[in-house]
Amino acid sequence: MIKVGGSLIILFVSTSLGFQMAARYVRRTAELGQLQVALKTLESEIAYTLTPLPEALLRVGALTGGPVGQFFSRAGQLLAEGQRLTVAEAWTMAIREAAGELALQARDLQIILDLGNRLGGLDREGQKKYLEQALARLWQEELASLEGEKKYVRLWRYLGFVGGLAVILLLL
Amino acid sequence: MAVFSFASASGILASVLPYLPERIGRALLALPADLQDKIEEIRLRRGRPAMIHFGSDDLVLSEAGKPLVVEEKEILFTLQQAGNSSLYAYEEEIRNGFLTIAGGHRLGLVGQVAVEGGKIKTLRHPGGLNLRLVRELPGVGEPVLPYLLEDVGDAQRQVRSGLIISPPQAGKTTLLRDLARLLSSGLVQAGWRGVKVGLVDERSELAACYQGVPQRDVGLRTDVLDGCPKAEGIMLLLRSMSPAVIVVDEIGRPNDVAAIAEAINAGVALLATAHGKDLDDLRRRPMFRELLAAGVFQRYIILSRRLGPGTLEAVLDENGRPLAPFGGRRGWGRNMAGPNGVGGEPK
Repeated sequence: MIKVGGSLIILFVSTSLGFQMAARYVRRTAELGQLQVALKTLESEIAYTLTPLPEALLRVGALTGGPVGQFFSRAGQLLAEGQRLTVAEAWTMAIREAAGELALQARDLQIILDLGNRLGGLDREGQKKYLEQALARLWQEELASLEGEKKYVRLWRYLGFVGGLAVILLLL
Repeated sequence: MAVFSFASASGILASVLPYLPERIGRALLALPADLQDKIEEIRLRRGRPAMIHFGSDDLVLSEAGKPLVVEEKEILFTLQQAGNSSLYAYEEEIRNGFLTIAGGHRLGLVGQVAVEGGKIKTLRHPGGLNLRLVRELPGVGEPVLPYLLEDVGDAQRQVRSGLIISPPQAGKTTLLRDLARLLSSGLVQAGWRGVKVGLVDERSELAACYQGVPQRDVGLRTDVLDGCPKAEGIMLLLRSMSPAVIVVDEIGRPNDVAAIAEAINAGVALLATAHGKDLDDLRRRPMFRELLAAGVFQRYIILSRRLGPGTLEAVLDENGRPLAPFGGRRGWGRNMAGPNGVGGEPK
């Protein structure tokens, strides 16, 4: 009886672990999508309305919501507070703080970090260009992430379940 | 990245420290207090030592006994702080070569320029910055004010049109600003109540507006058009703000003349400045010959640097005869206390 109970617990834990891993793939794709929408909004704030960056970031953050939105809000907040930070510094700080909450991978974060080094710069057209570059790279990552999703989501779910079974067999 | 504060700073320096890199700020605060008060310009050039200018002298800033060489990221820091982290929103200002920061100080910038159609499009690589500290010297216009007022009977007085003639750096903008303030706010000692003043601040130097709000005291009844071309500004003020006096800095372009004539015809007094040594100097210039011959100005105020910036040489009447040979009344100088004993703190 104890054995059956223990086995069920192991199976439940390993399966949910598998599902969690699978969920990260789904969340990554979603966050990549959110990021692109957010950057598009930022682009229009910068290139057409000429909103000051701190204000633009806060607005984008509020519109986006979730961990991605929190990143934008935080960067805007750091700049608005006037803490003697350059845009790149505030941006990097915000992304480091948000990284734990995000399902984004290191390569996704790198795209964002690269953009931060360019933001707030001198010419309007340049700003548009850098944002568009970042958008194009994020789009590529989103496609790759969708591909990955197809492969790995089922894989991880099976792996969780099968792994659980394997552990039970070994213990028996 | 630690939060750094310059809490010990006071006076005019305190108003610009938030815009300066930490190392520069420290070096400035390490200077003797009397020198801190005299700083007129802070120069940051990439790859070269930071310098300050005061009076006709300058000084290389140092850090631990060595010249403090400015790094690219420090230039960028200052620029970003001055541009509210949003330099893209200041393209026009950057094309003109300067940004006005809170407190009315000006940040001039040079570097590698991107040109489009023969005009400056933007600055690709900012290479050097010049932070010019603006000091207000309230009261410098007081000895001049009575000459600009005319009795018109019934204890009524009106303002005469005046032209301040001065070589560069002799304090014409400072005098003009204070006269605008006095004409607008009034002066009890002179029994002057003050009238509506319209100010066209083409180069954002007179009122030093920051987001549309004058950072200098230009008077209670003064309306400011910031960054507006003079000729258009004069016409706009005439149409919409019913000024008794229009104040503009540095006239000298052909289309200024037409606008000035329009203002005079509308019965509005004009107070302006012009680059020059004296009245004869202006008479030799075709553009001014016309204006002067038309008798637009009833008073000419001549400044020089003979006894330091702000040396008041003379006030002349409409025919160029001296009314008051000040004979070089002590200049107010930038490093001296103002006439009221006020050292010129930003308001």
